[in-house]
Amino acid sequence: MTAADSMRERASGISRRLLTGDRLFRTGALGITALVLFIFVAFPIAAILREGLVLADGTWGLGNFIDYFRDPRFLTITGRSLLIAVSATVITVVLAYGFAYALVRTQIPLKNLWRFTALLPVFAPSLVQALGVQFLLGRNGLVSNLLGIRLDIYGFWGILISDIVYAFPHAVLIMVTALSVTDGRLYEAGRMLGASEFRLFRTITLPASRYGVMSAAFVVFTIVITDFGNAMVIGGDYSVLATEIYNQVSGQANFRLGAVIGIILLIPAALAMFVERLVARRNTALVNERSSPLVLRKSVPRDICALVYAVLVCALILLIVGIVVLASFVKLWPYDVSLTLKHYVTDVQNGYAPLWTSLWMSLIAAVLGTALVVLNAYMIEKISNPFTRVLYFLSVLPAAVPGMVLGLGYIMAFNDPANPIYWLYGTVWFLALNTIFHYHAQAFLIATTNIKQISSTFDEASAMLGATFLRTMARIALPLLLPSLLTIGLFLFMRAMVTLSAVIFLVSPRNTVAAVSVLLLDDSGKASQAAAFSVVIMAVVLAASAGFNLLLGIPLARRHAGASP
Amino acid sequence: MDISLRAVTKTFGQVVAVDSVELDVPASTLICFLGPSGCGKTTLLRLIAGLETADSGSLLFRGKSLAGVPERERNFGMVFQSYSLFPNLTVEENVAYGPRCRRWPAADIDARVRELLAMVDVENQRSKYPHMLSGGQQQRVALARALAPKPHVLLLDEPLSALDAKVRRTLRSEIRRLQQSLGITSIMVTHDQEEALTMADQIVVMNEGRIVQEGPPAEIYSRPATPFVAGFVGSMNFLDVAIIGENRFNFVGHELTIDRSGIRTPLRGKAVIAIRPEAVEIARPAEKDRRRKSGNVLDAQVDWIEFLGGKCLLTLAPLSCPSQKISAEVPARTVHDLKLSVGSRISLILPPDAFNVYPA
Repeated sequence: MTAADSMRERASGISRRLLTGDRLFRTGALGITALVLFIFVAFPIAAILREGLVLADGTWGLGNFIDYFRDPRFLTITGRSLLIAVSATVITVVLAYGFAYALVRTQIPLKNLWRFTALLPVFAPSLVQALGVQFLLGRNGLVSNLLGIRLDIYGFWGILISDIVYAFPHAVLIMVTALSVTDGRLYEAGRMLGASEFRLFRTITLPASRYGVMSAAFVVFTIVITDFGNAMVIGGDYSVLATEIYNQVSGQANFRLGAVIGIILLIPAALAMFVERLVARRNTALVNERSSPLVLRKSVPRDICALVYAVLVCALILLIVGIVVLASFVKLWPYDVSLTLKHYVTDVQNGYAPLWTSLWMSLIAAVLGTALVVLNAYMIEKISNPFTRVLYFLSVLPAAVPGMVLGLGYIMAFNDPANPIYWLYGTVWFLALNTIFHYHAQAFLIATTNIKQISSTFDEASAMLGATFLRTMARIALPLLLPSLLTIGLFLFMRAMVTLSAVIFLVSPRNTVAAVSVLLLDDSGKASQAAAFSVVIMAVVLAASAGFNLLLGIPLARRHAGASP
Repeated sequence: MDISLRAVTKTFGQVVAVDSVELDVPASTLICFLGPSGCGKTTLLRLIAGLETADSGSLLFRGKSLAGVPERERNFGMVFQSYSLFPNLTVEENVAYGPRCRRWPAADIDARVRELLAMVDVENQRSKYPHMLSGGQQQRVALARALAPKPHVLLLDEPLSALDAKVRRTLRSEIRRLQQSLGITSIMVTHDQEEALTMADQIVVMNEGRIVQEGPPAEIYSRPATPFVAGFVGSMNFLDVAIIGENRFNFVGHELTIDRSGIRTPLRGKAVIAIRPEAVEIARPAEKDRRRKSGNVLDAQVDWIEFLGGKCLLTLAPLSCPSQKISAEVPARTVHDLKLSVGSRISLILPPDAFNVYPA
């Protein structure tokens, strides 16, 4: 029994029946949280671990891994993945640092435009970047055609460029946060002591943002090493770990090898998550309630440099995303550029049906996912005991599990007629559930952060006045959480619309999703149709988030301002 | 004059933070800007520091204009309200920061850091990081850091307000002693009148962006120029009176004479007279009648007694007008000897030379 519990019991004038009902509700809600986390997180991951660690003769051991690393082909593939991930990480972090600096620490005009452009790749499935690079630099690309030279982009360079574009927005978001968290007084102190702008950057800005840099580096590394779509589109014969899993499982039904590669991919991702959480804890210590905001000074040379840089970066991103849009509207890229809509008449199996499946699946993920995530966050935050700490671990664990690995785990766990929820397998609901738990950690952390902000004051006041757990949740917590509920819903919707890596293993001919259609179209050589399909997906995602902001932005902003302490 | 301000004005949007301020700061003195929050004292300090730019007026350092001289070239040291030590640098590196910006030779920097750390008595903390130090130690390091590059002027922005009372009192005298031994011209901002009274050579009282009064601490305390200064520095009884003659007033039916040279009031109308609680005396029974002849004696009832340790603060209600309360600060001894308690009747004496007179 928790302290709040006994406090509630001692409160006078509250009927026993109400208290019993409240206890039942709490137990029931916690039961749901535990059940979904064990079924949809713990079970699939256990399944993949078992598959990788059980040897051919039924005993447990590392034999499968030893065999894997004895094979020179797999060693090469692992080396390639590492090389691409490290190169992309270094380049992306440096580029994103400069971009975030321009957004946060300079007075360039049109900041919202630059920020929006930089975030564009997030609205697209992780293969649109590769499509763009292909249309630009590929065999039949714009550059080859204009200059009459043959670039060989398929392989290392293609994957590298596409993944940089793909990971760039994620790094920018982290760096913007890192550079925004600062203490203006330090800059004043430095200036009073006679420091030059460069010295201020070296002794204050850089040290204060180093955790952000580390965090961004790990996130980018994880995104790149686990990215499947871009490597599939532009990798050619240059196989990397993520595509190798797919080929082993889908092509040769070699589940054991798939599991082994999956477990290898778990290592960097788990490490990244661990370091990121460590970093997040250290970062908050840099500012306290006495910190003052940084007041930017006028500096024309600085702003000109920043503006030129921001425009250049945005131009490159627009070029790569824009060329996909352009190519989808012309007859034969890049030879016959007369406009046409014929690529929008798609001749992939099922036509546009996968798009509707995706939309339906994304709506389920948004609504059901928000409810589940907030319930989980609320129960785990409010009830603290060793059991809920296990549930907390399961809630954030998906951040360390690449989509491919989770998808593979779902096959191994649920594709079995003996499984009690086998009837769900292959349905839209199953895809939605997979997506919800693929992105559970990020959504869960948004919810937890918000619950933490309101918990200490209003919650205790409500409990002291004799309110039950259910009443506190319904009357106090949920209304205050409304803005973050909507944020979580939109986040899950957008991710579900563009997700590829986890669901690629789970789609059936009957229920396939939009991003998979793009991959199939590109795979069958219909790049322009793939582009057209991507454009439709991007349009839906952009429209959804624009509609969200338009419909709810204004009342939300007002509500949010009222709710914050 | 080390620093001179001529008609300096600074506005933030509609708010006039500093309103045509004129001020001269003599060399080697410590000047205190004192005032309630929002009175413009911090803005004025930041203007002198160069962290803000004045809208109009001029700022001179030893006769030369500071217009267009950025803060990093002024060579003014500054101590911030909450230390603002660089969290990623050690104590030593923090103190060496200024000299390094000036590219001093390494040996000189080393000697200077050693000297200052000894001066502020934190030598044994030299390789620690700021978060490992107490608030008082951090503020000592901040002081050392500000002084390290041998600044022309030391600016202190509420340097003690983040510290607890005991540390504050020690650091107060240490800063003052250090300032006097170095002979460095210093300007300190504070909202704490006790700090200003104990540390400053000159106090500049500010309100609503303007200087209300400037002068040495004793003068500010005993001769506040306006009711605002009187109420802000120390506590004060304000009595509404009618003028009945030269230096003669009617206060709730009693005639009060005041005896202060240099005060001129019109011969009729209303005025406000002010007297500090510690100047109000309680008449002992033996002297009551003798004092009554000299006037300024009121009969009152004890309304409330607040025990302050060595002293007691009495709230007294004159019998002729119980709503016009008068505070008196008397030795705890007196309260004990006279067996005063709530409800006791006493006679209070308002010494004629303890008053200040202001227009109503």
